[in-house]
Amino acid sequence: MILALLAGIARADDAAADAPPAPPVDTPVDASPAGAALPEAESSAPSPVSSLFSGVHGSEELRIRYWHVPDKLTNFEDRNILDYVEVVNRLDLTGGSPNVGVGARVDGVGLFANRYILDGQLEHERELLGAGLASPFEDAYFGLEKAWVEVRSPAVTFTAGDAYLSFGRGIALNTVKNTDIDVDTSLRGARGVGHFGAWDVTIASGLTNPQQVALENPNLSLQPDVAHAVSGLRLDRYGLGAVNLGAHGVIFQYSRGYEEGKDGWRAYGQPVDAWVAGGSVEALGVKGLDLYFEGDGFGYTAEEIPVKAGYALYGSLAAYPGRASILVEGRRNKDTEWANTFSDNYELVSGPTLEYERVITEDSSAAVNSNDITGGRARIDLRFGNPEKHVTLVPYASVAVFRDEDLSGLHFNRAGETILHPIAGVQYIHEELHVLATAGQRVDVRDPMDDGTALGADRLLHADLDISVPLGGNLSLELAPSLMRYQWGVNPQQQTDFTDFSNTLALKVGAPWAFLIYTDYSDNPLIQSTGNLEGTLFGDAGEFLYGAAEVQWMPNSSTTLKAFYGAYRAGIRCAGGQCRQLPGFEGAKMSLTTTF
Amino acid sequence: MRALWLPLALVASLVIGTAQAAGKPAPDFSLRDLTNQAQTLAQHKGKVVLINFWATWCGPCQVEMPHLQAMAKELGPKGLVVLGISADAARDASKVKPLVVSKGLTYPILLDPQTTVVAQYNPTKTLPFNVLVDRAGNIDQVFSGYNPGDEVKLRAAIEKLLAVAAP
Repeated sequence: MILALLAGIARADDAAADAPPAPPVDTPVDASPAGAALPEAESSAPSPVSSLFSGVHGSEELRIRYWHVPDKLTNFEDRNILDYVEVVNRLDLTGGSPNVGVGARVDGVGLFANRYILDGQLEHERELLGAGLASPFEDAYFGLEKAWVEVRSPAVTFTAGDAYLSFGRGIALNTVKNTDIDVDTSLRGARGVGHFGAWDVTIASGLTNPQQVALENPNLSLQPDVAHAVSGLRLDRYGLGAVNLGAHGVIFQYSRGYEEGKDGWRAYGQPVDAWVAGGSVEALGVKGLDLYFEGDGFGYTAEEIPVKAGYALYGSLAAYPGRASILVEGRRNKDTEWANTFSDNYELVSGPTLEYERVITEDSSAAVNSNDITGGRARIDLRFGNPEKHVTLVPYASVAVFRDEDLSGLHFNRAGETILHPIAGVQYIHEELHVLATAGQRVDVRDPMDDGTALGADRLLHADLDISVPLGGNLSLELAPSLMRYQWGVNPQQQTDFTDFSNTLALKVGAPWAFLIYTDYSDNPLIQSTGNLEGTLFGDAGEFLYGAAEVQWMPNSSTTLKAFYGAYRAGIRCAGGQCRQLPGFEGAKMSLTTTF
Repeated sequence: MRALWLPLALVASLVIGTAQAAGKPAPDFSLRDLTNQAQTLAQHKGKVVLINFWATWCGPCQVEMPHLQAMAKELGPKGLVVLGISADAARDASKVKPLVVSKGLTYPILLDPQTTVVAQYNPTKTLPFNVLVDRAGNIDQVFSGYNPGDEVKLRAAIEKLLAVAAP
């Protein structure tokens, strides 16, 4: 299959080489006022099929991981028979002509040394495939993960296959790729985007298509997708002076799993389980201010969801006085997260959280997904220096305040809480020197219980730094330490204060080579991975130390080869309004990423 | 089968890794900028265009952007156009302009809330990601990621293209 695709690329290269260069077009930059109709991408006469793939490009990502598992199997304490090797390959291809675009992603994963057989008897195995997922190979799986065809006309862009969709600020619908946490959920169906004068229309319907194969995380017991039907419409009206208006509606028909007979396309045949309807108003440059407001109503008819309605409000105000950029945002969410009840490891709706997601804890992840939260955040950045003279200095500060009343789900809190999170930081860039520093403290103050029991407050102190210093010649050194100190109030699930620390030290030798050393430390008693250094270099009982080294080679601007050996810790990671518990790792990894 | 698949994947990766993007037409697109005015790639044909994919949450992107601003200012009169395309999801759209202003960036920043252009040019969503388009509208090179000093290579590649007269 890969060779066939390569043959296709080779043909495409030939076609591109034969194609004459396009004539120059001296078209001035569009100077139409805000609200003017969106001009179409340059259109031309329909291309012959032979030139359809004249612009094929894409990327190839290969990961080979040797998983060392420190645990020993009983009676096999002298052997690492739980270790195994995982190979993941992802090939993305896109191409097309001015009028037609096509794209595909082919994923493959295979396990090696995942069985231990002694004297003809199976002692241990790791299964790649879970129940219900078919593959002709026992320990390998290939899938056409994404595929799409896009047809562009002067007024309409129509996509059949996989597409991403986001309405308003993502509150009503937000199916996106989130590379930070290895989540990639598209909508497999049809999407049309039309530009009619000052109107934009987006209409789509399809089945959720989460990625089957994880690129950066272990692939074990892969399950079939549970595809939910999602249909939506968004209208945007531009050109009302400085004001733009938008309105949208989305309906969800959830699959309950294959045994219910409502999976896949059959989900369309069942009643609507949930809906969202809302509108937005945006005003840009009104007396130097940019304003945005959105309101959404949620309705639920699915019997598994315990409420019938919810709503979300979001607003932002930006101002730019003098050297300052000021952004103030506010939100109110009441019973909106129920729309994500049936999605696993991804979210169908995900509006702005106003959180500093990089340091989100187990508890604050619940605040991200709260069904009853009100809050806001204000941030001010000050601009100094001049990037055109290669000096940029931007100090900034922000403060977020939330009131979280949700006590269900993943929440630790047994009473309402008020969250205060001030942060300050600075960015300094001068030629090849850069310093990025951020520090803050989040305090979750719990209300007392109804019986008067005090619950105290949870505190998180965090600081992170990224500094890169040129050492002369073609050498540069980068240091990126990060510290988080947790102090807990009265919390039945986590009573011990602890510290997490990590650091990356990178020595870069010109463009092609970089040598990195990673260190992790944690004394979290509930951590879900053990370190590879404790008891060897330093560290006491209850302290977990991790170390790793990596070599990177970049032979050209589009290719990176990495070799990694060592360990890093498990932990929760939040990005894009979603949080995942990511596993730790110990072993060796090789990765190749290239674009073409 | 597995034993065959591993070397096949390796060979495929290495072969693809040697493939060059040079000469392939850059797909056109239409996106709105921060004032809702429209920008297409085609309207810049005849100039050298650097398409920079970035996001508000991407640290290396923010380190790279002042260098791009300097290039836009210094090389703009010679025919360079820098187009920044925000890969932020719609939920982060309110953050984009304040960040751009705080960095003193003056080159056009475009929003791609449905990720139509990101999906086409940068399907892995690696950030930052730069696509250098020559005066004829063909992709000359792509640059994935950013490390201090990469701007020197990028600038050299741009100046090489600027030295070529428009066809």
